[in-house]
Amino acid sequence: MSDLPSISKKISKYTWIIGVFSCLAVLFVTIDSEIGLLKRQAAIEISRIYDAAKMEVEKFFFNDQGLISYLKKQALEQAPQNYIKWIGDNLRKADPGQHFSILDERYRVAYVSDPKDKQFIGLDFSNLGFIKAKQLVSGVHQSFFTSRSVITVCYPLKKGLLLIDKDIEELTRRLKDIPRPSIDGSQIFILSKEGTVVYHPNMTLVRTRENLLSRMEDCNGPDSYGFYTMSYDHARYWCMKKGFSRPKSWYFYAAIPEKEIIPYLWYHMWPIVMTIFAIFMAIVFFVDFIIAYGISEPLKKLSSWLLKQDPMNPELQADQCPVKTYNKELHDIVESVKKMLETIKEKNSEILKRDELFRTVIEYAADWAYWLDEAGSFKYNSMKCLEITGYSPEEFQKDPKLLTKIIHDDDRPIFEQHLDSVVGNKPHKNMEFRIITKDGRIRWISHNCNKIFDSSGSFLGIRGSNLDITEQKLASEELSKIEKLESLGVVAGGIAHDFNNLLTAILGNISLAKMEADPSSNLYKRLEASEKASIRAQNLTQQLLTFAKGGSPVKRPSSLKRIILETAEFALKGSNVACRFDFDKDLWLVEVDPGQISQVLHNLILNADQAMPEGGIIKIEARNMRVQKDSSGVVPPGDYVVITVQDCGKGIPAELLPKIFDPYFTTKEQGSGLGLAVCFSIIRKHGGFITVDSVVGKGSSFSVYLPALQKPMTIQEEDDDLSVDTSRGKSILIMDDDPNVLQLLTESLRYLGHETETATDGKEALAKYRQALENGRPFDAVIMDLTIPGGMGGKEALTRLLELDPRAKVIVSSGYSKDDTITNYKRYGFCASLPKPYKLEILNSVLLNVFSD
Amino acid sequence: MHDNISHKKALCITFSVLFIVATVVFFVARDSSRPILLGVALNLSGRGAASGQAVKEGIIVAVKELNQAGGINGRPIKVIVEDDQNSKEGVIRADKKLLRAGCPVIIGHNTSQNTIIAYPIVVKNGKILITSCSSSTVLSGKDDYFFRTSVDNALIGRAWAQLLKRRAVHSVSLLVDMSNKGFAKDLTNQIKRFFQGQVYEFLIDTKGYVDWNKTIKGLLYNSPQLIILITNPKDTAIALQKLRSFGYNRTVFATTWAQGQELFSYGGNCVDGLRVLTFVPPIATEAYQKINPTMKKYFQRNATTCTARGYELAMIVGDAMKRCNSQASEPACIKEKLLSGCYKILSDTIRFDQFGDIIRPIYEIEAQKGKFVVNRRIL
Ligand SMILES: Nc1ncnc2c1ncn2[C@@H]1O[C@H](COP(=O)(O)OP(=O)(O)OP(=O)(O)O)[C@@H](O)[C@H]1O
Ligand SMILES: [Mg+2]
Repeated sequence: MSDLPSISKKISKYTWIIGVFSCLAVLFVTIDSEIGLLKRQAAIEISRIYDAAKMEVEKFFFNDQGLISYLKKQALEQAPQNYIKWIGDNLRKADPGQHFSILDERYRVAYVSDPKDKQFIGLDFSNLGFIKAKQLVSGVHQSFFTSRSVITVCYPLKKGLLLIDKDIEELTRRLKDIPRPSIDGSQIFILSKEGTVVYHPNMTLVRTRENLLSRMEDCNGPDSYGFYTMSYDHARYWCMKKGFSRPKSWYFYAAIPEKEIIPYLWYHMWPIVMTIFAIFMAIVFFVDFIIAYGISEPLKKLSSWLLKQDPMNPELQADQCPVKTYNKELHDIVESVKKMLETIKEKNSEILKRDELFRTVIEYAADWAYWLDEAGSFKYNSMKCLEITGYSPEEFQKDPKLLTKIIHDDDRPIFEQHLDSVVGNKPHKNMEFRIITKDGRIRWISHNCNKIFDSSGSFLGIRGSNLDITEQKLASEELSKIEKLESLGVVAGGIAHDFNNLLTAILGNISLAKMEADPSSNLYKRLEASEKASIRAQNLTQQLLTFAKGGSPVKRPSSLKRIILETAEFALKGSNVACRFDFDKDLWLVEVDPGQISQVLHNLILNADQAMPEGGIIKIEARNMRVQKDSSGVVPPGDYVVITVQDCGKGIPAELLPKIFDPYFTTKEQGSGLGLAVCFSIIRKHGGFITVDSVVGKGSSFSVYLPALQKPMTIQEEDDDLSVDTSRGKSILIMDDDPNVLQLLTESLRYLGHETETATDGKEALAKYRQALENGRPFDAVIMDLTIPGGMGGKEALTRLLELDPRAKVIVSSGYSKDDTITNYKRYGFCASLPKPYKLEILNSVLLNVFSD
Repeated sequence: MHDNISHKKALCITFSVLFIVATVVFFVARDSSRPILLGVALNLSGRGAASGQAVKEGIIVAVKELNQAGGINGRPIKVIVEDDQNSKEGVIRADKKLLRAGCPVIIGHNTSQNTIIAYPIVVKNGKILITSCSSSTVLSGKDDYFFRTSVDNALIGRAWAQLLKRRAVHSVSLLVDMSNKGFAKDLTNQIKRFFQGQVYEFLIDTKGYVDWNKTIKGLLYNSPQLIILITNPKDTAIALQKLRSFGYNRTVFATTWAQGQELFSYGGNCVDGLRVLTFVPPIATEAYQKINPTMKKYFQRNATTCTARGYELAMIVGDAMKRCNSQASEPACIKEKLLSGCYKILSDTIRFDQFGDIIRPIYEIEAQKGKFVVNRRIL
């Protein structure tokens, strides 16, 4: 909101200002005219008072005029010497109260009205001012006879002068009842020519013959009404002055005190003033109301309604505008605003729909997409971030740095480098890095980002998307591990195969040598030691061969419990480590190769044992486990039987964990580093998984996941005991590319009482077999090496042989004891399998088996 | 918005400052325009009021001139006039009224008798009483708040003695108007004191009825070589006319008291040749002409000796007040300044002695054709 004043306030303010000023103007004009009226009225009133005063004054001073003229006429008839006396006497008679004197021609006192004054008769008054000046009316003076303030009126006589003293105090008394101007404090007074008081309501001024004219100051005027303004005794007055015709140059004054005029005016005008005020107030209020109701109020409503409208709000309802207008302009504005809002609304819903669409696409994508603005804060951040990082978009919004903070410390430099090249417009590729989620897990992220610009080419920020590739990453790691192991297995298998053949020959020869030696002799002991060492070597090669192709497990439904118990007992013989078992009741069945699984367990238990040189307890558990669909991890969903081997040994440092399954990785002096590699290989071949958990100093725990069988099957408990009743005198064809093996086998079979024929490859074997068959002395059995480099292998030879003689009994022999042909020999048409290197007892039992069928 | 507030604040401050300044100026101005009161108590309605009237007019003219010239250091003088009605009660009432009004100085009265009545009332109230007309020795030689521009009767008495001696007069008749006892009787005593010859005194009281024929007869009874009229102007005029009617043609003397317009108005031709022993020289001098325009303007007549005396007195008071600066209303200060002043007012340079009495020359003047001329200076 800006601080601009609102229009309604502005209008109202100006209305009021105009109202007040025009009210004042009207008041001023009214008051001015009222003053004029007052003056006119006062002038009329004063004129009336003046007329009355004038009449009274003339009556006072000149009332005896008639009498005197009459006496003057009558006196003419008197003797001249009696003239003055006659007039005096008669005047006294006619008006006894009158004080007068009569002067003779030389202005000496000839007659006095008061007998007391007779002694003054003869006094010369010719020097009296008014007599000298021959004025008929004197100024105000102190009477010679009475010492009172008087005005002397002179009547010239035929001989002499009649002087009548008019006591002006008497005049004041006479004029007492004359009306006064109606404004309070108003005064009327009469001044003589000299300005001396003739009449004034204040008797002292009369008595002291005050010269009032000398006290009037700052006289101005007259104005059009005849008023002067003047000050008297420091007060201002309106004053009207009117001259007398008789006595000449006397003036009548009416003075109205200015200070009384305003109260007087107010007293007479307040209803008018109030009415004007009220009318103006009413007008102003009315205008204000009209403006407010017609313009400002609707505008205010409209603006406040518009301010409240959020154009982004899809609920926007233009027809709900609360403004009612009674004038066209506003109506048009409201209508156009409504139309505009309607359009905005339509557009909005379109935009919103589109927005929704894009949002849906992005939010449902596996990518965590975001958009950083120019300043580096989030313009958009998809909800996916919560799923991937554990941090909500709000947290990212709050702290845009979080984006780099969550990156794994090791990967941060390369990420920052990447970001630099993005910002610096340098070439860059998608990259992968690790992040640490809110709950501390490590996730792999595939990241790509680029700068974005609008159509005009201005920079809008950086868009990025992060894909969680942890699973793929793990899977591929697993895969590469397997691949690595498998390739290693091929190599190792190749070596082991040859090695095994050699061992077979060594072992066979040692066995034969032993037979010929005296068991009590030293030679026999040496041979036995050699045989033991050879067997150990054979075991080693056997392990190596597990990697080789031929190592596929011979699976059958088995009881893990038994395998575990037996293996543990065997492995820990002579060890200071104890074992504790914990099995779920009704363990699900699994289809495994008992020998291989036993080997796995053996390795794990051995490792556990070795991890606790000071002794301790190994916990072995077997549990049924259903891995749920959504559980993240290496193990895919499904039912498993999990065997856990847990020790409380030294543990494995985190940095070594990824390596322990590598072949030849070992931390032990005597270790071969193949134990776990073999475990891994075996378990993978069973379709299972092996995981490890280890805390340094606390111990390690290896879990083996074996897929459980869908339907339970009854286990046929194997009876491994073989009767060593061997039928003798059979003819056996041996095929092997290794002459040592051929020799060893020939001698071993001969030792067992059989006749042998040898062949170095499949061709030769077939020829010899055919020949024997044609000779009518077919071979009772054929022992074939599975792989014959360069020549025809066991499998091909078998097919040809079975074509030749379907009843042929062919025993497959191979160093790759894990080879599928060895384990599933029956499927291939063999009647038995003979793993290399051969032990005489095993050879015998295999042959017995074959011949007993 | 902030701006607005500071703006309002500034406005407020400006207004308050203006208000304070205006208030101060108002009070200072009010103080400086507050008038200084000057009380005037004269006989305006009693017998012989004409002189009082004239003195009053002189005072008013002087004050108008003073005020037009800027007043007393900017403060105007306001004259309050009271009528003493030439009666004891009137005097007391008038002075009390003026004292109540707060006048620091009262000019009055125009007879010694009235001044003697006023003296205790005014002076004891710590206010200055100054007069142009009171010569009584009763009021002489006192270091107080009483001042006068009229000469002490003792001095006048001596002048009379000198005059009489020079004229080789050994008997003199005095007409003594006891209505102004304070002056008339006092002067009589002073004349008697200094004059070696025969003194006949004839007492009248003009406040009551005077049988003039009897009076004149009495005055002439001892055939004095010289007659001195110690009366007011009007009564002097009557006495002169009566003396003439009794055939007395010798020189008649009168006192300053007789110097008034009524002397000529009512004296007719008999005034010619009247000699007056006075400290007020005739008004014909240049200095008197100065007042006439103002007198004409306000009172439509010329100045008289009485006017001149009023004028002179007011001017002296105004001058003393002016020299008091801010203490222009303080009687003590006015007294001090009056005593230290030296005035060249109308004709002479005059100054007060330590008792507030005037020291000025005394003349013998003579009436000729309606006005006085100076015969000689006596003292
Ligand atoms: N339970 C365990 N506790 C501690 N370390 C272990 C454990 N199991 C395996 N390891 C580590 O993993 C390495 C590899 O084990 P692996 O069984 O593959 O080889 P090895 O035991 O060293 O030799 P061998 O071939 O005789 O088994 C070991 O050297 C050892 O450091
Ligand atoms: Mg091991």
